[in-house]
Amino acid sequence: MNHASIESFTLDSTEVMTLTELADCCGMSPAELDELVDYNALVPLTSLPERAFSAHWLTPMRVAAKLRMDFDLDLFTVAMLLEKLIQIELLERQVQALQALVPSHLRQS
Amino acid sequence: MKYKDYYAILGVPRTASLDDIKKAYRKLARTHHPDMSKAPDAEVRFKEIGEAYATLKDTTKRAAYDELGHPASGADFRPPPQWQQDFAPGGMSFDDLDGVDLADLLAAMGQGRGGQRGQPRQAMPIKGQDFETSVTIPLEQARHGTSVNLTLADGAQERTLQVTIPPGASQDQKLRLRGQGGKGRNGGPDGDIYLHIKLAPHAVFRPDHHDLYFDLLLAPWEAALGAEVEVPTLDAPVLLTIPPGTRSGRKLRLRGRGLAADKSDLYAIVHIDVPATLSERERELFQELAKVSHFMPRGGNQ
Repeated sequence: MNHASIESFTLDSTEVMTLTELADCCGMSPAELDELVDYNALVPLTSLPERAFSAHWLTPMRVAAKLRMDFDLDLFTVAMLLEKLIQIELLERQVQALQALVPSHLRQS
Repeated sequence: MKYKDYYAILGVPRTASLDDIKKAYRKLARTHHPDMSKAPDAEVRFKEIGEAYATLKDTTKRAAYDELGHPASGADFRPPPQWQQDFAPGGMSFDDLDGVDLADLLAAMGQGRGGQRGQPRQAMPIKGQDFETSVTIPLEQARHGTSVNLTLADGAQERTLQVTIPPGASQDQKLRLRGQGGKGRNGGPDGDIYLHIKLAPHAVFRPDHHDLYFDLLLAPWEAALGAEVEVPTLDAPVLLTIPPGTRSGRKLRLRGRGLAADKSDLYAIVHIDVPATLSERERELFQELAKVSHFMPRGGNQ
């Protein structure tokens, strides 16, 4: 049993990840991530000296990388998939925002 | 060692092209993927399909596999002597093959630098396993921060970690616990833990990212004349000033009372309620108001 308190990093736009770190975390190579950037599916914050990304990319990237492995998808398909995953995430946020406005008595019905 | 018929698993002939093998794999993977199939053996079946595909899509591994001939599925066999040099993980002796899996042996092939048959293998650093888990916390803990205990099944043993969740957590927030996953091998880094935070439903408040919303019921005269009413927050109740002429649906903001104290707010959504039954005096007063008021909520033409 290890009860030492563990530091956590929030995977949102407040944290920044290098290309290498993002590649390691989603099990892809830096060259593959560069290709996703070329397809405009992945957008870096900066490109010099090394490409850096908002940590919010990590979750959809890991989902896309897992589906790539599970279904042997090519990188272009991963790029399309990533775009759709981001879109789903945004739509889910919109649904949550609208649900928050719905009065309790209507939500229960 | 037990023989597995990878061609039969994928349902393709031994002469199948790479394209046919890929097509068969994708079709089966779509059917048996644990996210899509409700079958109790979906995960096992998906793993089996993946194992067959990993060998047959790789021309070198497929050639080595084909060298075994075509024993019956599940039959015992001894690998050819050349495999000792090509695949034996960590210099393992082929004299003792009990408990060794064909897939492990084939998977070991090509992992060395160079990755070709006949070349000496070199152990590659392998990152430890990542873990994904979720935790549900009440809104109060999301606002103030908390620590949670995570129990993970790491191989044969269980580990418990105390994880600090910083103040201002929001619905579906993801945290990364760097290096807290499975141990790396051959000098590879340890894996990570990805923690998905969910917020427990609250009887009063509804979260929208870091902001919170709740319904504020007002009497018609409170809305019309203005008032000071006590409203709940995640900390303690506070007095909220209702401006005169507040209409139903208006959002009144309590700054800094959301989930992230410094950058989120609590919103009271106004709903004007009326008494279900009226006393004699109340009825008189409403009737009087109806006579004297020029207010036309449905516009002047109706």
